[in-house]
Amino acid sequence: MLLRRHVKSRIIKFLRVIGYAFCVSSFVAFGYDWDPSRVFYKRLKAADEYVYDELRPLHKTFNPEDFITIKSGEDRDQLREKLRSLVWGGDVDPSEIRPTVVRKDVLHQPVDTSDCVTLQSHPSSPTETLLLLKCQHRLYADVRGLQSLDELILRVGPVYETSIAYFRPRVPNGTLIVYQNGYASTYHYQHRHIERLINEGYTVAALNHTGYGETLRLCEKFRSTVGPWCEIGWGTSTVPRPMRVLFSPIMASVGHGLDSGNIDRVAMIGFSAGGWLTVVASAIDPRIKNSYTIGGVMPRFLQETEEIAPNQLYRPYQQIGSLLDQFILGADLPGRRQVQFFNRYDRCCYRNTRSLLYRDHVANAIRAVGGGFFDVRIDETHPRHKISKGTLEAILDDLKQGKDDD
Amino acid sequence: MTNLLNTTAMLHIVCGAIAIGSFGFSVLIWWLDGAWHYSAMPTEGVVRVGFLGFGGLSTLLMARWLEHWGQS
Repeated sequence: MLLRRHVKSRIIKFLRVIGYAFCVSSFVAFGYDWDPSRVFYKRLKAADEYVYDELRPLHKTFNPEDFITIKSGEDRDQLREKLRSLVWGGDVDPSEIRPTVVRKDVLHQPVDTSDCVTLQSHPSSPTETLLLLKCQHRLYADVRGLQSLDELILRVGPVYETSIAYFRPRVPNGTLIVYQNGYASTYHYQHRHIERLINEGYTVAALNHTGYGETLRLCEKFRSTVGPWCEIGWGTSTVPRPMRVLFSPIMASVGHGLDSGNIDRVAMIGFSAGGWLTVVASAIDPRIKNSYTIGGVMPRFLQETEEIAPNQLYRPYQQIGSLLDQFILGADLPGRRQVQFFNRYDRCCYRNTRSLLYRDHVANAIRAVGGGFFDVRIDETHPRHKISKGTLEAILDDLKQGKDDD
Repeated sequence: MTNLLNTTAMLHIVCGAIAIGSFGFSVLIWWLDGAWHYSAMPTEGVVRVGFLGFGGLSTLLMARWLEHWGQS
């Protein structure tokens, strides 16, 4: 009896300790996950003061002016032409690229989802990289401001095929936003932001990076034929003019939007690796009036070793010139605007305030060629690799500002 | 009454309040910021806080039940 009481009292004590520990841990977990307190934690854990707070002395030694070669309208036109022919060759006009197939109103068409579980799971790829439009209809079915969702299919070269989600709002405000996602997920991961844009009246064309979503399976299944086209997403390729794969879907979305007759302004938002695609696309195509990048692009001289994005490594592209010149091309005409957002405490890349080092130099160079508006903004509200609510609001404000300026 | 307000009971109440409060605030922040993985309190954070909080609460309740078991 005494032994039983003793054992019982030990068990009670043990349970109490565990219970207290769990309760306290729930509070600690709250602090660990909540954005404002996580910023504090990440700064505390940083390897040195140069991760988030101070600028590396090395970075301050560079003069951004040395990387700007555009001094006149002629320089600008030459670089634009070089980029254009690097991507498509001299005989293709990117403004004439259109989707190969348009599937209208896919949300209200019968769709076979029986293979979604198989298609969206993979032993070596995380689910977020595999999400397919036909399997994610539920994310968009109840969007208040959505009139219809079309799927645009574009064939590039003889075998590569990609899918673009084209969201038509009920009350279009005349602006098409091309949203370009980056690595490690699909645009479905941004569904709340897409919803917000649609509800504001924006027409949205959402694109995945090469090798994600619809193209992931294709690249894998037909490794010997389609595979080489997909490899450009990682910087190498043996096919002719492989950068077409990255930029033709953007041009097809813009062309398709402008053909519809209810679009008078095109903007582009690029997140992560999609930020670089946004910079290059807006450098090539002046039809893209507003461009916004989020945690997406950084000139080589300011990059940390681990930040070199693979899709930028294609050697002929590397030889074409500095990114600062391409920033200038993105806002080179009156009425064009480019705003680059960076998350100061980003877990992934381009953190801290390095980008402010080139902001004024680029803005001045843009003014010198009679161009529009360029800015760099730092988001300090969270420590994640994401588009925060505040950043999206800032983009919406800037879009309105751009319209008012017209 | 005295029984209810002894040190152990007070500790249980404080711990319970911490767990429920943390979970409540997590859900509130998550909900107000779009209820998705990119909320200021991401979905996995809410799950983590909830798991630990409710784990703690149920362990404490189990301890209390065991303490009074066989006494009535």
